[in-house]
Amino acid sequence: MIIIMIRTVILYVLVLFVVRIMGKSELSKMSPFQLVVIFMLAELASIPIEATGISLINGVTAIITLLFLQVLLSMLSIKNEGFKNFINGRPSVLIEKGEINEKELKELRISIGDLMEQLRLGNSPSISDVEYAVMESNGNLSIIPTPGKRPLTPDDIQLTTHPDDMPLVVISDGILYKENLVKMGYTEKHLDKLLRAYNIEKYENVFMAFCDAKRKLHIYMGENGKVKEVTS
Amino acid sequence: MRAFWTSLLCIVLLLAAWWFYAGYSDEKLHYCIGELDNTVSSHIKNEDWEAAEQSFDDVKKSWDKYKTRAAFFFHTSAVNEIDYNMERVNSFMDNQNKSEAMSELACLTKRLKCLGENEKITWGNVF
Repeated sequence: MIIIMIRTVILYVLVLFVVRIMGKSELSKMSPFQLVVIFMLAELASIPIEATGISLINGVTAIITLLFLQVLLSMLSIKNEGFKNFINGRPSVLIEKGEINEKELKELRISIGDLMEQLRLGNSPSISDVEYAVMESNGNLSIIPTPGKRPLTPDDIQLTTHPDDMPLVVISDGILYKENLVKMGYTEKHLDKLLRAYNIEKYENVFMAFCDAKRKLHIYMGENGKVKEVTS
Repeated sequence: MRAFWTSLLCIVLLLAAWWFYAGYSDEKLHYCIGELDNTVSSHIKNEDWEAAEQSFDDVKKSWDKYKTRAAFFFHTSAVNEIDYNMERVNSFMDNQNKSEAMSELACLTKRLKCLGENEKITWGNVF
């Protein structure tokens, strides 16, 4: 039993390392290849954990080889468009300028029923409302509605907008994130003053505080297991 | 680019470890097989049990030392099977049973040969 525990720890650390090196895009499963790698990785790690008779080095070798191949292929995909299309496949336009591309549907073996289902899932129940529908290489359907069915944006009514900041957490579970505080244009002194205005003496009394896109501070105080919001 | 170099380094480390191990493994297995095939086998044929046991002990010591490293790369059952065979050969030699000792010795030699051959880069092993 202890052997399984030790092997699990080793392989867990290895898989963590491999996923970290492969990068975030691997977890997003953006392409069929990335999906396959994640499945294979899980399988390769679980076999040596369960079967103590199998050498751990064999499992490690397989996982490291997969890591190398994946990183190499992603690098080649970035450098060469043709190679990328070969590995990942290219997006297929199923509806173009409001017209269904039957040839593409047949090639992808997608029935009208399947297409309608995907459109409904994408909040476009009527084909007449769709300008473009593109089957991405990861199998997701991107829907671009006709201009008349698109939501109104400030640009449509020529409304002047100002760039927003990214909302950032300033205090979480009583811990101050100084870097975020500076990014939002606050100083510790300023923050202390704001907190004191709500009778908050220590950061430990704050459950969470964040600055929104307009640099407005929202403070959530933890009191008797309940969270209360105050806004500066 | 950092990910590529890290993964390449991991692969190179694994290959280097394997290259060193393969050389060491070849030498040890070659020694064990040679001793069993020539020395031990001829002593058993001549029913020189004392000399046979002496040379078999040398092979066993060499195997025991090798197996601690081999366990990292080979299936545990393959290593265990060779241990069982060694014990059987030992036991038949203790009882001075020539025919059984010879057949068990042949089996042991074949197992050791397979251990090395299974790791060689051949089409048969790949597929």
